[in-house]
Amino acid sequence: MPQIIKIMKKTIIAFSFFVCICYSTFAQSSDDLLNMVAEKPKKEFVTATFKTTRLINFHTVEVLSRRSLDFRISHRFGDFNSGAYNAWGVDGGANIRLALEYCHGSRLMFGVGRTSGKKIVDGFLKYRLLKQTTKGGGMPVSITLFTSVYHTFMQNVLIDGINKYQSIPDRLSYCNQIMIGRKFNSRFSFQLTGAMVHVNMVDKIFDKNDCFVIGGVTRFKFAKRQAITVEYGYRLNKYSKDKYYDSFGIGYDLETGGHVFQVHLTNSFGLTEDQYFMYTNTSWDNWGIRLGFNISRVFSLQGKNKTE
Amino acid sequence: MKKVQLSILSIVATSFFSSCYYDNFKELHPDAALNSGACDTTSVMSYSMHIAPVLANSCTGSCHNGTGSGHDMTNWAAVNFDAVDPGGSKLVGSVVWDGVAQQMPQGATTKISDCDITKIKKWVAAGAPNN
Repeated sequence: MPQIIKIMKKTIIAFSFFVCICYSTFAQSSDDLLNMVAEKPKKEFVTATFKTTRLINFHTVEVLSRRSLDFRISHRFGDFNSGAYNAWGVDGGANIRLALEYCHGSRLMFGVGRTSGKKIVDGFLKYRLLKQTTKGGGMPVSITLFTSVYHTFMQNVLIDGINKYQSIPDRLSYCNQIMIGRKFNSRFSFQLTGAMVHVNMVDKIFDKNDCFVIGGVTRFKFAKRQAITVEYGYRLNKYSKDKYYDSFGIGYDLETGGHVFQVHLTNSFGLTEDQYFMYTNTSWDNWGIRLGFNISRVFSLQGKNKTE
Repeated sequence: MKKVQLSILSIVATSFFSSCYYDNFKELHPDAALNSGACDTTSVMSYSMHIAPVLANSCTGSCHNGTGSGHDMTNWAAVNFDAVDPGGSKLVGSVVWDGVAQQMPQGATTKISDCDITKIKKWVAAGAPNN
């Protein structure tokens, strides 16, 4: 008899233990479910990872907003080390790019530009593949794809008496990029850029047509409308025996109601990807840098009452 | 709208890559360096394109032409004989004025140009091929 009581006691204890565990598990999961319903995060996209579609020379993950037209002027002066006689580069050797860029939807934008140096006309497409979302939205980064083509209209480029450009494809270069950026907080944003530049025609026997670049782009916003920017592109392969340098720039962004004004120091004279990634031939070491500025003016072409 | 965007992307991508070339000016025009005074010794030195013209300018005009006083240097086999020598290239020694081989061009007060010397050295170092 006492044995039966013992067994019953054990069974009751075991059962109550089981019930307790089941209950607590159920309670917990129902709490979780309730929490999930209560705290279901609203999916919101992070905006303004960078102020414009370009930082200094490099493209950023940003694309223009819907039905916006951006008129851009980019200007680079001559080298600092050209001395006081040349007003440290201000007197001459400027490179200017004028561009019109447009975005119809909210992801795909395109643009055309004309650069005075090497008389390059360029066209590009930029597609915002993924947009960073706010906490809980599930997307920690923004990813943007970029592809472009450059056509130089230089005439009478003679190498050893022979015309370098004998057909149109000889004049073309291309660039493809993937940009992965994140806005960490309202002040700090960072972006990694992977780029491949292809030049159809190179000059020398040991020159390669392709160049691969990995770059870093960052912005630190220190006031409501002002920010410090830095960009750097590291070339991964040896594509020429001539001395070229990685592109590096430091800039200051100022937003002034409708305009964004960017002023900076960079060692790149080129304004298009094929030039500044591959053919930056001056260095920070000996003040082979220059003053430059970008001005961006965005026009909204969207009617006030039109919504889609 | 997405379909339009995708079509644009695919058309542009196709047109981009269909005109993608890997051209090299020096490969397309290997004799380009000879057309001007520019010295380019970055390419592979060729007997017919780089060395023979140097010899024609400085060596085979009056002496090393088979009928003059010097050893015949008008064909590759003869030049190769002078160029490749386990004890040191006689051809290189004579143009760099190493003090061992007789200085060439004979009677000249200066050596041939550095560019031409570099071409000869590079060609000899590659085994003085008949290319």
